[in-house]
Amino acid sequence: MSFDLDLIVQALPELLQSVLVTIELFVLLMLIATPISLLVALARVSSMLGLRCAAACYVNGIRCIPVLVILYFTFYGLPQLGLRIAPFTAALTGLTIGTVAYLAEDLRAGLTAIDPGQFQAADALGLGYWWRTRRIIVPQALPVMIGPYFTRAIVSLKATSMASIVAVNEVTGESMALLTQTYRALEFLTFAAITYLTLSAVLAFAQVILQRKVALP
Amino acid sequence: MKATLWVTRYDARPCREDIASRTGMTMIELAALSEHGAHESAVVNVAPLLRIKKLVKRYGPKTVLHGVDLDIPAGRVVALIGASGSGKSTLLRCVNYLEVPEPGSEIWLDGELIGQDARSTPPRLLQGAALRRQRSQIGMVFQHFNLFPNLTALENITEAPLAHRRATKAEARMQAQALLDQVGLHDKAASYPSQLSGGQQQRVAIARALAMKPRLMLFDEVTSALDPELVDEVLKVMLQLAQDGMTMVVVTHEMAFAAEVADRVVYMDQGRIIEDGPPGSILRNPRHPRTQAFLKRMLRTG
Repeated sequence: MSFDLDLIVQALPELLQSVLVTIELFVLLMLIATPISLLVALARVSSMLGLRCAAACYVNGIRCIPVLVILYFTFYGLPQLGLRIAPFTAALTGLTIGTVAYLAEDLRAGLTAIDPGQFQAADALGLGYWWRTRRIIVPQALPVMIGPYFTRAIVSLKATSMASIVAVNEVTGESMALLTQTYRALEFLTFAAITYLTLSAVLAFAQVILQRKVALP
Repeated sequence: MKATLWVTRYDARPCREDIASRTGMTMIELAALSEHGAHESAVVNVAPLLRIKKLVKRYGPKTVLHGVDLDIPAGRVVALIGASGSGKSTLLRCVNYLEVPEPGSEIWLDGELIGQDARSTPPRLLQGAALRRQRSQIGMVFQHFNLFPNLTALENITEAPLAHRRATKAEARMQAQALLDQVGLHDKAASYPSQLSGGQQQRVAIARALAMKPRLMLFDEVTSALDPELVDEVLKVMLQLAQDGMTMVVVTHEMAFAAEVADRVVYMDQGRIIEDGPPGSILRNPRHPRTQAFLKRMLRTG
């Protein structure tokens, strides 16, 4: 028995469909998790004690629970509470909850890298909190944040494979389904691996471009 | 177009004629008083622009300011000197509440209590927009410039007026360009801080602080981080500002500058003001042994 490319060609419509599901899951995940993570990171460095504590509890609580367990919670647990949601939504929710905890820590590192003199100058000029954050702090934190951010994005991309366990037919799920139908593992697993490799490469490339864009003059 | 409309005189000092008419003193008497170091505004009991009362600041168990009192009339330039750790920078930072002083301390700017709500007893700390408005009336320049590196020189200057909705974008840019002209950097509007020398950065920082048309300017060792050959260009801008009538508190190690520009020199030691008077007498004939020792050290090193 050897590697049979024909198998992949025959299953291409389903496989490509599953790639789209992976991309959709990943893009939605990052679109939702990024702003929330930034808010959690800002809360982590806030001057308000209550906000700081709440954010620290969230981050430290969630990152000590396996993302897989969180996914089981949203998939099996929520319906038990009477919340009927589609597998895709359950997976997206679980992944978001997990990703935010990690991403917030990555972004916080960028925020704490800023010279305290910048805050003082902004305060002395009477700039408000959100103005200061939007115009001064975040733009300066971006160059520091961008590396860890894309590393986290790549980790999250691969984490979307866990959605297969809660009945979402993304690349891993579809490959496994085809594997059990055909008893051919190598072909479909190779396809799945190449898909993640390609998507990760796109992210790494995007990082290089963005890094140049947000670099401080 | 050469924009000139923003470059004007700041808060005028109470002019001698005015004081003479109010006190009935002759101009000659006033001039004589002034030469002896008396302050004209004290003579007529004009409320000072800046009044610091019983200013106490502690860091944990360490008290860095022991109930400092200081009055500065409008238009005056006060040089604050002293060894490092004497509390002079902390005093400056308490004036605009970058550091929050201990309860009971009072900072008054032109009759307005800074950082605290005078209507509540005991006064509550001011937050948010009210504090931001007060801070916008006090310009501050830092030792390490603290320009925003992600913004151009011009954008650094327009930032505060735009944040405070004091001007439209076009107005703010025009004013910023005029301020850059004023500090001798008319061709640096599009430069980023990293593309400017230390002296140029500090002049942009002064322009940035002036953009809100402050009543008072605070300078915190603004030439200490500069290469020696870049110090003069910054001092020149400050001298011009003083001549235009700006009220200034200048923490400095530049004794020559203090002698030339300041109306008054205040010597601080271990969180207290221990000598206060015209530069001529403080710098040449200090009375307090600590001031004498400090000045001797300064003359030797600087």
